[in-house]
Amino acid sequence: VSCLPEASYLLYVDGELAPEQGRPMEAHLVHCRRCRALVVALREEAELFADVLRGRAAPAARPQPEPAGRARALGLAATLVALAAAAAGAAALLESGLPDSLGWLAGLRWSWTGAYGLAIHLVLLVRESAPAAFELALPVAAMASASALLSFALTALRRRMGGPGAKLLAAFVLLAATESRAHFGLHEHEDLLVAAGTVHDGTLVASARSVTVDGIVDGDLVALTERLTLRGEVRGNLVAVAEELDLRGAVEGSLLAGCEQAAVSGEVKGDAYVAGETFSLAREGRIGRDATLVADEVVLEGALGRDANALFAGRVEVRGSVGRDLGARAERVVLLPGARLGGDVEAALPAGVEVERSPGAEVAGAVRTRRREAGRGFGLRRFREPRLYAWMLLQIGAGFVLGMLLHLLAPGILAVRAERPRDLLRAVGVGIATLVAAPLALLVAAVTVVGIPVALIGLGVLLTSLYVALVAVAALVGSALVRPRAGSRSSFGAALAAGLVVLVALTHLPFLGGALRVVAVVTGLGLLVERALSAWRERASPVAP
Amino acid sequence: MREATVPAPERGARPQAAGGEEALHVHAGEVALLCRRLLGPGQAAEEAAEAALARARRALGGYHPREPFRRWLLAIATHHAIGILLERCPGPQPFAPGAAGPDDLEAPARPPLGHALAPEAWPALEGLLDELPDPHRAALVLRHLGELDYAGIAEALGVSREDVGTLLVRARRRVRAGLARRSAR
Repeated sequence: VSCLPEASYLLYVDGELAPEQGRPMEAHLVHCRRCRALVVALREEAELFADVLRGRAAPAARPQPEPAGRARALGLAATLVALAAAAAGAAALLESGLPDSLGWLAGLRWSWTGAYGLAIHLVLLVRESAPAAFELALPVAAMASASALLSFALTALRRRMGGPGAKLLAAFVLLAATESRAHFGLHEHEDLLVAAGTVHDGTLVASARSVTVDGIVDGDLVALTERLTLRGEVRGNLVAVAEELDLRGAVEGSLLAGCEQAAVSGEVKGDAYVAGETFSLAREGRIGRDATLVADEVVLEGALGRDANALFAGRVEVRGSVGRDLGARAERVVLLPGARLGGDVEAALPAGVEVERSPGAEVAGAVRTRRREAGRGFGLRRFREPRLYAWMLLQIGAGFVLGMLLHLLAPGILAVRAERPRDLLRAVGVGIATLVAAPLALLVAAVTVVGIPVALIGLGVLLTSLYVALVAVAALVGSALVRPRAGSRSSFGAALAAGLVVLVALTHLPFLGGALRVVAVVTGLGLLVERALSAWRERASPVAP
Repeated sequence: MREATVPAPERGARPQAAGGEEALHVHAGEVALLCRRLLGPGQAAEEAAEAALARARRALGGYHPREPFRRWLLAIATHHAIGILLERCPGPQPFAPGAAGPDDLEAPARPPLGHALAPEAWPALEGLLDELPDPHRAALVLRHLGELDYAGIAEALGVSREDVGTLLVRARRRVRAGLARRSAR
């Protein structure tokens, strides 16, 4: 028996079905959670009608010891400021030097590269210490990630687009999986070698102590290893999580790598996205298109076809050619003799530091230096610049448009609640856990062929969620200040606008602003996750057929 | 609900007038509520309740204690109130599903209302129940207040059991849609 119309379940609930009709229905109910939920809901509705028709008093609303509006707003603001102050204090402490007794914390200096390094070390340590557990966990985690995301996507599509959309996606996924399986090879050897003169057909997924490719991989190469040496050729993309990457051969596609040390002396015809501690493009190395590099030390001696972007870098050194612009957010940017840049240099540097340009360095465009917002000094000068306020207005406008769109299309997303400061603290905890767990899960998912698209989708969802988190916090702050009327769009819009103005102003405060932004993102992410979990639990609630 | 008892009449004797009156008094509130729900708020419902009680008083001689007194009394009140509804809407099948106007089947199906319904929404729900078309309201009231089964409702309204099922489903859908419209305002 498949799912039946509501009228049939109403007969069942009202006891109007003959036993021979009821039995198959009960057999179906055992297996179908949705129909079970509908039956429960119909019973509840019958009790509700009976209560209302008998004139019974409505049950008292659950007592909610919520503070009054102003007190709640002050409580929320005080908690946010306290969290931001704590974060800023910790950052300043770690940045400026630690007392001897806290010296052990120095290794935890917060930076993007440090976080990547930590993640890479963790994965490699598990692989080294508990290979059996790793082998088991890898496919389980990948399958769980893939299943959860696909299930979510199919459910969402079925709700939004009906059956055809979901079927189309399912067909696409099946085709992709079938196609992937045809070229999929997982290698768990201690040392993996694709010898010179040999060709590996299809995608090669390798988790090994070392991976050496002297021959040809006729597809993508996905490697999780301590040392990856490529002297041969990869005819697809190269995705690597490794301690050392030595790329001397050729990659036809793009390079996506999280490595402590990455050295490219060969050729990457596509883009390069590398996160690690050091990245060097040797004199004979070449990257065909753009390079986005998150590393403490970036050295560009070879040729880069288009733009180079270095983020969160300590030192950026250019001796080779960059086809277009160089963008750098770093402590130092050095242009040495032999550097040839086809476009502009845009550097975000600490106060008092300029781009160091040797006489022999050629820059076709302009060299501009921006002062980093965080860092030494409070950066009060920027408040005299009109473009700061234009940027703040833009942020408010963009947040407002997104918030209103979400409110119109999916109002449940922004319906986050935090009545008391302890709710916020819990949300911060959930947000931090999500920020740690989600990238790790994506990393694990990405080491399988099926998991790569899933990981990319997940990465997109995560990045989008970080922005939506800010809007959610703005809506929360606004609702604490304005208290919008339930169901009124204009009232919600007013609250959202008020919240955005407050939040954008707070996140641009000197010294505290950066920390406040981090706290707001983490809090918002935690609230969104809690909201999603709550919605997941509510899936057991009824849906009329 | 407390069930009032009426002493059994001796063969050929009228029931004890005092006992019958007491039982009528105990259930008078329910009679008034049933008439109020079936006929809507207003003077007509109050008059109908009075008339139903008077009719029951006259019929006390025919009451046998084997039947629960409450059920017997409410059956009289139901019959009386339905008779008034029939006078309001004369026709061959005034309680047939088709008589309640076109059903809004194109409207998106909404989930049943549950315990999660906010207490503030109860007055609105009560108002919506009052505004239902007579066939829908009568079926819903007889089912959930009169506690009749489909056969009992079918007999009271002069329709088939299948029609009762249809009326109840449509009544629920109308109430849900009405509540959703109100909350969207």
